[in-house]
Amino acid sequence: MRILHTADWHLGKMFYGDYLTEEQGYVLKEQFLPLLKDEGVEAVVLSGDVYDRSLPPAAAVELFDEIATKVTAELHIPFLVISGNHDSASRLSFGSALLARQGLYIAGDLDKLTGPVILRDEAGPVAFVLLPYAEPADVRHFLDDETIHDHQKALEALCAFQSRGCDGMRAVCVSHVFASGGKSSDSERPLSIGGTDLIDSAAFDRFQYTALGHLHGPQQVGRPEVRYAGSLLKYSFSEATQKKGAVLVDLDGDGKVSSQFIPLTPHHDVRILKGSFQDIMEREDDRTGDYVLARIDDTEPVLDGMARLRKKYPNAMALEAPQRCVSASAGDRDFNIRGTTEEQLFSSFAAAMRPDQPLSEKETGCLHQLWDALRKEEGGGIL
Amino acid sequence: MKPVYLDMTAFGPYAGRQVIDFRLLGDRQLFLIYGPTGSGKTTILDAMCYALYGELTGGTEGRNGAHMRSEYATAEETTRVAFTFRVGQKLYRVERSPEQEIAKKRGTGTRHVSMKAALYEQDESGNETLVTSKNVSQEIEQILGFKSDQFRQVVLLPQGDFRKLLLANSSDRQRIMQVLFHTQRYDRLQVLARTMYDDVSRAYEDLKKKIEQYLSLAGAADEETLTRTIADKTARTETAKEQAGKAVRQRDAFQEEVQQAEAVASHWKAWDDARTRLQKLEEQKDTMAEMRKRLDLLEKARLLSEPCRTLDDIQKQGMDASKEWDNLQKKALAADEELKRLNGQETDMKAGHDACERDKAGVIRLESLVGEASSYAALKAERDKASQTAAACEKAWHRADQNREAAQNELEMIRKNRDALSGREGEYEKTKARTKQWKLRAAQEKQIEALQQTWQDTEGKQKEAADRLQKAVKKAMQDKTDFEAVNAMFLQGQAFVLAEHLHDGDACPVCGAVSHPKLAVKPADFPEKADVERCHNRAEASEKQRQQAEQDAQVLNAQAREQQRQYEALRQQYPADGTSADWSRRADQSAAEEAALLKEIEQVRKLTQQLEEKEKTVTLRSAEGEQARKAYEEARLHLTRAEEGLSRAEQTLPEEYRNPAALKKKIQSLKQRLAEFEQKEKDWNAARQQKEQEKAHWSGQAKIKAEQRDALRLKYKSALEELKSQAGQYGFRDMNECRALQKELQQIESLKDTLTSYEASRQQTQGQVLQEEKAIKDKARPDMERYRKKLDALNQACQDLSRQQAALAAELGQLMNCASQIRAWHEEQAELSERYKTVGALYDLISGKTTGINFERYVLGALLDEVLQAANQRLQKMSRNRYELQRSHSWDDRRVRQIGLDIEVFDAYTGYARPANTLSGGETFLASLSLALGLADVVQAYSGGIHLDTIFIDEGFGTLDPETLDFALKALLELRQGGRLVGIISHVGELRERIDTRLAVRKTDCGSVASFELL
Repeated sequence: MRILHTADWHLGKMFYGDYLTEEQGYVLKEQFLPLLKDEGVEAVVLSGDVYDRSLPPAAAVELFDEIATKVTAELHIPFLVISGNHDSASRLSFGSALLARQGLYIAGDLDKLTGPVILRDEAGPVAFVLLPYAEPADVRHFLDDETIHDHQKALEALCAFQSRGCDGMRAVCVSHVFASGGKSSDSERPLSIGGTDLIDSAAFDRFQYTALGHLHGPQQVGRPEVRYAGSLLKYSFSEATQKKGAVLVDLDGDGKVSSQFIPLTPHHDVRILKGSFQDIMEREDDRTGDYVLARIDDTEPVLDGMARLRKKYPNAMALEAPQRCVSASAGDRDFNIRGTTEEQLFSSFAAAMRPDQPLSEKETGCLHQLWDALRKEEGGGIL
Repeated sequence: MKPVYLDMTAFGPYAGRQVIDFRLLGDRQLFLIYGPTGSGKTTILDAMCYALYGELTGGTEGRNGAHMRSEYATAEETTRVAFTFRVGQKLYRVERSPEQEIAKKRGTGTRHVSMKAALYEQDESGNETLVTSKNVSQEIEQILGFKSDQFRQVVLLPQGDFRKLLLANSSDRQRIMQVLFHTQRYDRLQVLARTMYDDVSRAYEDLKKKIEQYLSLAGAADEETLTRTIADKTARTETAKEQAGKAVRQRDAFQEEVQQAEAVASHWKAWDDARTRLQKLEEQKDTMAEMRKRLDLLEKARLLSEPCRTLDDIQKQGMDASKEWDNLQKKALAADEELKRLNGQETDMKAGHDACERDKAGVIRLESLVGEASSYAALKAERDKASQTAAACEKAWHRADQNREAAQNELEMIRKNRDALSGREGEYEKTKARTKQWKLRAAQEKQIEALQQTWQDTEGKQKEAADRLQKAVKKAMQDKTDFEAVNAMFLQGQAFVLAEHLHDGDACPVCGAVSHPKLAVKPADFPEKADVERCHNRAEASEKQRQQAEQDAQVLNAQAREQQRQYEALRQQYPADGTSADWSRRADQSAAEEAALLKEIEQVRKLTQQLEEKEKTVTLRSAEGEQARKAYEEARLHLTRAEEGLSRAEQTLPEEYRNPAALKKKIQSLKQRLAEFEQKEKDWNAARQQKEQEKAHWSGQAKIKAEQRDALRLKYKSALEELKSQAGQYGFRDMNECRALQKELQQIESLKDTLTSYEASRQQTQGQVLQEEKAIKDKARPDMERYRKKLDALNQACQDLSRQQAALAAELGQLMNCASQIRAWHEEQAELSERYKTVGALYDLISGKTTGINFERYVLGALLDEVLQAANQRLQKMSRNRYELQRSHSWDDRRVRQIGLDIEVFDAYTGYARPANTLSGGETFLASLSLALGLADVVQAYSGGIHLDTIFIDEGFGTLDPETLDFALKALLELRQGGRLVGIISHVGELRERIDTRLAVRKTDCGSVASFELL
């Protein structure tokens, strides 16, 4: 069976103030749909984060409606979708029972889960175990099991629940988790604080292929059968060097899997420009419409940097100057106030105020007297 | 300050008691308070602020505490807030209630309750101690370290007011930071420096004054004059000294002269004295001669001293011996007298002895009687006991009798009661039967009624069925006619069908003819076979229906008839005289009566039982009575017997011997008397013997002494004789004179001395006279008076001069002192002015006179830089590296730049820094939040600093667009808050989904309710 694995569409995402819905639409309609047709895909798997927010903008919903309809009703390809941590599971799984009859399988709300989706190819049945993203508390409540408190246990329990009745079949798991060993980027929302969201990929050992979503960089975790398809577009500047696309998976009758990455290119790329400001402005560049982040290494502040940059790159999103002397006042103080004593503080004060006339001995003597008197009166200070 | 527990009653929208237990948060660091508008989210912060300071988050301009009473509260509930919080290791609880009107406890109306506040400290075991109930706010300011103003800028960022800290001007910010970092001490340092500076200048002035004083004392206008005066004085002193020296020399010379004259004068005097003395001595010559004579006499007497002494000794000894003999004689006589006296008592002793014998006999007799006496006593005791027993038995017997009577009476009473209730049983049976009957009747009546009902129903159904039947019949007929028509047509048409295929020459299937002159034509409305089939089917169906309907009607009819019959049969049996309800009511009544009767029967039974029991008791009691009487009889018998025995014993034993104890006593006393007498006899014998011995001893001694005395007498006589003869030899008139002189022997020495000394002095004086005469040869007697007078005058002159000199020297000395003192002070002054310069320079430095930045400001500037550094960590993340906070660089001069504590924002996009108030609303919020968090970080890091481990943010997230909100929240969640609790109030929906620790505030009909949701 030929499966197309994609994930993390984040429809309706705002990128530095602009909605990316148009770009997403372009990629999906002009590249993704033709791909399905051309490659003879028999099932499409979308591993979560369909929308960027639980209440997405109308344009995003329209786009998804269009794509889903085209895939299932026109191309007649079964479309399996799970909700991710950005989606609202209940809203996404609206009408899931009705839509399932038309080939659009959405797993969102835990209460509406119906077990594995069985599709057939020439070699026999293939079970798709859909595990939507859920907080451990919700899984605990749903399965009525008081021992579930972390994502690992939640996943295992939910997996056991959703894979009833598919023993002996070839099985594909669709899940939205942070598998340990994976690299993350800036645009993923953390699933929990402190790393309790890490999943050991051994939980997916019994599946012939695991289609994961959540991490935006396409990668495999441990074995090539456990993969992240990566996001549809680059959603943050930390992904500027990543490839974006979908994974085409061939599952043969014996359960062996071979996969291939199909890149997708949007209108405007997301890039980081490095160098001095002058350099960047004078450099040759034929893709000035891209979304760029200029990371300049000038030490002095550049006046009206953003405005000038936008003249060349109208879609410049941000300007960073990490080398800039932050504040000269910190420069000529060479101590950290926390580690100093009051006397040291005073001597640097004196040095700063009277740089050509250091404290004479007599003055130092007087000063000691003053400090003693002060300490006798008020005790020690906070330093 | 970490909140632990908040308890508010009738406060704001919370009508009843609302408790918020922050301990449920565990160690979560971020939580959200959400709820619809006006539900009371800010009120929670208000409550905290109010509990601590008595003000609300709007400060003094906003709502005040008295308005916080909930409108939903009942008049009985008191508005109060109790807030438990932790500062460092200590746990405190503060309670406050505003002034309000509460319902009176007694009576109607309300009374005015004034504002109350109290602060308690809690230890680990939960015990509370009151810290204060006045000036609670001030106490809290001390504990927390800041006032309510600062609280509202640093710990609690109120709605719409969070930007205060960011946009404050330098002096406001200085105030806050001073409080937070305790930098007032550097101000104090400046003050101390100033004091030192003032001290130095004052000291300088003092010295100057002193110098002037001294100068005036010395009488000099200034120092030059002083020096001159000193020189002058020195010269004068020199001259005076010279003069004094001269006078002294003069006097000394004259003194020598005087001495010489004195020597001569003394010689003259000596000569005079010696001559006078000599004369006196001459006058004593005669006396001396007399003395010589006496001396000779005494010397002679001395030679005889020895024998005189011996004589005296002997005399003495003799007298002693005589005295002793007297004593001894006396003692012997005394002993003799005693002996005589004792002998006189002999007859008494004898008489006593006889009495002893008699007593002994008496003792024996009494002892024999003791036995009898004790047996008598035993008998008496037994008789007493027997009489007691008899009395007791009698009492018991009477009592038993009484019991029996009482039981009997009770028995009678019970019997009476029981009889009264007899006869109930019959009634009970009757009533029971009646109830049953009536119940049955009621049931049957019901049945009949049911049956009637069913019949009516069936009649109805039957009518319906009849209608249906009619309809079905009609339909059937209709269909049938239709079908027949169609069929006919079809059949007719068959002819056409057949004719259709028929050609001339074919045989007609019907008749076999081969010519067909008139073929049938297709009729109009030629129905298809199917149609015919359909009609046929329809007709059949409707016929079936009709049949069915007919059947139904018939069945129903039959049913109705049957039911009617049944009903009428039953009705005949039971006439309709009352509904089933009536009957059942009557049956119930009867049942009640039955029950009552049953109860009475029960009672009868019980009474019967009691009666039996009582009878048993009666018999028991009478048996007891019998027993008691028997016992009494026995006791009486016993008593009479004892009495008899006793009277018998009395006859044999007389009265006085009946008491064994008395007898024993008497025996005892007799025995004692015997013993005493024996002792007395022994003593008397012993005494007699002793006295005899004594007498013998003393008389022997006396004899010996007498002999001694006589011996001595003889010795005395002989010595006397010898002395007499010797005295005559030496020329004494008689021995007595010699003896008398013995006493004066000691005068010999002194006489001797006197004589020798007289001689010596006479010699000496003579010699002296001669000597002096030699010395004064040719020299006249000087006139000492004249000499002396002159000498005195000279002495006086010397003294005066030296005094003068001393005075001058003293003055000079004073002046020199002055001068040296003034010099010393001048030196001091020089030192002081040096110091003045130093201290002045230091003070200028500290107070920033030239640079405008004093030390405190400098330190604050450094601290502010740190705070901004910490704030920038967060702001960079939240603004995606666009904004940074920094202190404003308002002036170009590098030193002066650091005066201000103004904050400005550096925008990486433009490369310029601009004041903080040019940021947009959302950006201002981000900057304020970062600043508050940064400030809290830095303050926490200083030990002894104020504890800023909580921060509350009231709204503000609504000013952010969704993307920025995402970033801000990500930054908040990611950056470790360092154990700090961050509470957010917001209605933004996104936050509700992202933050999993929430406090939900809900509006209900009567006030709001808040509860934690922890996932």
